Amino acid sequence: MHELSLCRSLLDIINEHVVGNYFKCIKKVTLEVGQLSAVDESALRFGFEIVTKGTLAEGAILDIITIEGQAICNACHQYVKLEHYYDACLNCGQFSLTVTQGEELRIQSMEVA
Amino acid sequence: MMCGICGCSDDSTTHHEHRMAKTMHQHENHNVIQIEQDLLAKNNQYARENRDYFLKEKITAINLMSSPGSGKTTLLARTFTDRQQDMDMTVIVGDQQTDQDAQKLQSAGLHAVQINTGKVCHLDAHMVGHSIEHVSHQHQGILFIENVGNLVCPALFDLGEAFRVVLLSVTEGDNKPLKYPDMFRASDLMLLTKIDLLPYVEFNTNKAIEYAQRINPSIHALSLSATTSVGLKEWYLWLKNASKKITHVH
Repeated sequence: MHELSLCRSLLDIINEHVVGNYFKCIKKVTLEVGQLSAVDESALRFGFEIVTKGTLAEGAILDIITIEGQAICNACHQYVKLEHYYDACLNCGQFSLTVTQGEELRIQSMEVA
Repeated sequence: MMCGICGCSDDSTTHHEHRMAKTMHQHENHNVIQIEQDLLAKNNQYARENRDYFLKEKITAINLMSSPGSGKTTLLARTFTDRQQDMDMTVIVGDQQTDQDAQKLQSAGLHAVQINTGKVCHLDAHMVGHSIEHVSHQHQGILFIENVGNLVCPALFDLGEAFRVVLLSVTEGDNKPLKYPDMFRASDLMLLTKIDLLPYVEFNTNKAIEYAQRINPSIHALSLSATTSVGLKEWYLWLKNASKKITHVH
């Protein structure tokens, strides 16, 4: 359940942006989560609900944008989609791939009122 | 009209202001604040501080990870017993509860500091930073950071280590690298442990290595048993070379 730790970090970041402003509540938090990142969406939502209880972000919508996994093949040098780390290159079948996208774990924005 | 600061050209924007380098858009009665920050940013900052400290002191920090019971503590105790003459070793050991591992290592003669994470399933760079304060000064030594037994969560948290080592015991099954790819992807070395039990379990060593290299083509692999000593020589050689890489950095 490292998602709970991640949600605590998320709340810290939210709080840094709340300090000094007079917001009534946080309506939405938008995250970018890479398809290859070691994060489970439902665990993240569960953790978010728990850590935001009693804060300005309680009840906020957690909008998760999934970023597709992508890699460049070290054998055929093509950019290919990569759903799992254990997948072979879709083009040539080799396993030597350098991930170029899909490991993101970022808070993009939040909507406040 | 496009905003010169953030490039926003949303026509529905009724009001628009930039405060303290933060971008804010007011859409009727709510604002969107662009944050664009990595969730692990704070951990990574602490990890950088740890790494700077280790480099300054020429300490070879090794993050040891595995599922519970794969033999991390046993291997460390054995390593110390065999090589205390020519290697200076210290251990930070993380568990959710008890200091049994630290005690076990201390009774082998090692300087070991226990971190109890409570409910947390991994070590983070902040916890490690604090425990370094309790480690006696060990310029140019090896610092083992024995992570909480867990094949998932610790992979995500950089502790500032120079090397990551993942242990996989032969009783766990050879397909673990495919099932828990993040751990193997993030590691420099995979140690297949308890190989003295190979006759009694269905574990294909070559398969395990092939799977791990599928996830991480540059991962090295060694097989050993801390009970029978098979393969320990190669592990000690790897440690020696790892340490050399750090102490010879100018």
